[in-house]
Amino acid sequence: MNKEASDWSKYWGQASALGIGGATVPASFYTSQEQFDAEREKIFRKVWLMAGREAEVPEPGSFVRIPIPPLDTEAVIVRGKDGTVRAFYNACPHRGVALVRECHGKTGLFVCPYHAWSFATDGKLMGLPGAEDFPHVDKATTGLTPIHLDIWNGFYFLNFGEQPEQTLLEFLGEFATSFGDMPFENYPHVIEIAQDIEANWKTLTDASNEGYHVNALHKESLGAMMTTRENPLNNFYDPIFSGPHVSSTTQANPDWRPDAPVVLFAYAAAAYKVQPGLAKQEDHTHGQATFAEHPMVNRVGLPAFSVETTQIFPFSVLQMLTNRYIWFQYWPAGPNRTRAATRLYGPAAPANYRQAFAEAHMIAYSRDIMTEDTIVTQMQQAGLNSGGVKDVVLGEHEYMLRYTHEAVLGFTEG
Amino acid sequence: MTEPTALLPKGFDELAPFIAEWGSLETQDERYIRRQSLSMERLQAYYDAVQPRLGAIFDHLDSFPYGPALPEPEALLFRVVLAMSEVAQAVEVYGQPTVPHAPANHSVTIRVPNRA
Ligand code: FES
Ligand SMILES: [Fe+2]
Repeated sequence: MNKEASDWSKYWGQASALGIGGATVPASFYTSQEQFDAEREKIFRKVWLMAGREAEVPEPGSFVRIPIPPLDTEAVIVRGKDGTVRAFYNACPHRGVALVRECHGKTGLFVCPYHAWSFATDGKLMGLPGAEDFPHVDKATTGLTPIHLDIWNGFYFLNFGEQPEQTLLEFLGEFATSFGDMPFENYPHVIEIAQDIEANWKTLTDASNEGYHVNALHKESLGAMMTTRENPLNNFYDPIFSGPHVSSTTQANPDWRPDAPVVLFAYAAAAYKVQPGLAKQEDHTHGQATFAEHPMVNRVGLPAFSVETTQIFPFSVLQMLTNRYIWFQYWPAGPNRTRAATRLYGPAAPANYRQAFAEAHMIAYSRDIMTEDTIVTQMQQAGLNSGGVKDVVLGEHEYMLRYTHEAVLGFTEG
Repeated sequence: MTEPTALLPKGFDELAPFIAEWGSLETQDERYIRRQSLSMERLQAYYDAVQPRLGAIFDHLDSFPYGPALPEPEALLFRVVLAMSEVAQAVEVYGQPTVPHAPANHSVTIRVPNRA
């Protein structure tokens, strides 16, 4: 694309020009039990769910136990002796006990606390006390029930279908390749901000996928940093689509100069660059590639880039910043309830006290922005539940939301 | 048994008035909740006392290896100065203790993923 271009507005995505409908959507899309049930059965039990990073189970025997709120179940992710990562339902095939209680750990054998059936890291039944009482149990074919798991670029995805309708690569479409070498592995240091939110999960993906609210809701926290005279509503640039997934570019304000003393202290102290934009050679840490040079990040070459926002359907939003990334997971837990996990990934853990302070400051700052979003989505849910609004109205530049809504409806009404 | 008097390292006495509010808090969420419970005057007093000393405080702390073995006076100083991560949000961003519209005692878990 033409990097000399000065009129950046021509790269703004617009729903009608992109052939995206969904200018209105009924309030019940966010409130009704029927819609939620349809999403659970036709989306969350069918498609690949982006659930974690392979690095969470680094060694043979490493495991994590993760809740899957939309399906009221739990998965155990474990790296086997053979190095393969597998997923199982956390349920003992004897009488059903959710046998793994630790949220993470390392073991060669899972032992059920009830009657001590034991299972290898590949899920196979290894032993049962008094095996002669169970002549009808074939040890060779009994074990923990597997969940389909596949890995793409270090992320593990789960599929709860009997047989997945698509491979993971088919599900990701072009993004599997174009984002396939995005250097996520260079950002191993992670902190999670976890919140239970009284709002539908789609109010949260919506809030992540437009810039329209930035200079209103986030006026104090982000407004000046992001907003320019040329783009006062923070329209997103350069929409890219792949199946149900969508990605866009967001600007920063190139004229923004932080002046708050503690912000300046924290920026200078940080182990890695936190502020948006201005990708430069000196931002590189540890000699590794950053997102800024990846061809799928800031394709149009905005002079002040802030974020590439990539929605991986249905509930994950990745934000690639210059030298870190954020992964928003909005796990549905009911029509009015979302379990949100915002993971902040950076290149390195703090190595001294001022870096630890800078990280605490960055976490507080991120959590407060996240709180602005989560509080307003709860206010939105209350208004939608009130019955006072029949249809939600969406603007031309809210195209990422509209695209995602159409994708959801494609599943639930298809 | 009497508690030993909490002592800051020499040269950081002006932080002593804030030990009671901040000196025993261990987590970011505890500090976030404390921030919401204090008046803007108290937050501003902390900010005015600590902000000019940030460089000196971290020069001192970083003369120690980073890790769990910090001597108690320095560990106390670090806990007190970490409060600035929350106080600065109130003073520099919002001009009020809370995030607008957030409920009272708003709590948010900060953790490593897959840890309780
Ligand atoms: S339920 Fe697990 S051993 Fe009985
Ligand atoms: Fe937001």
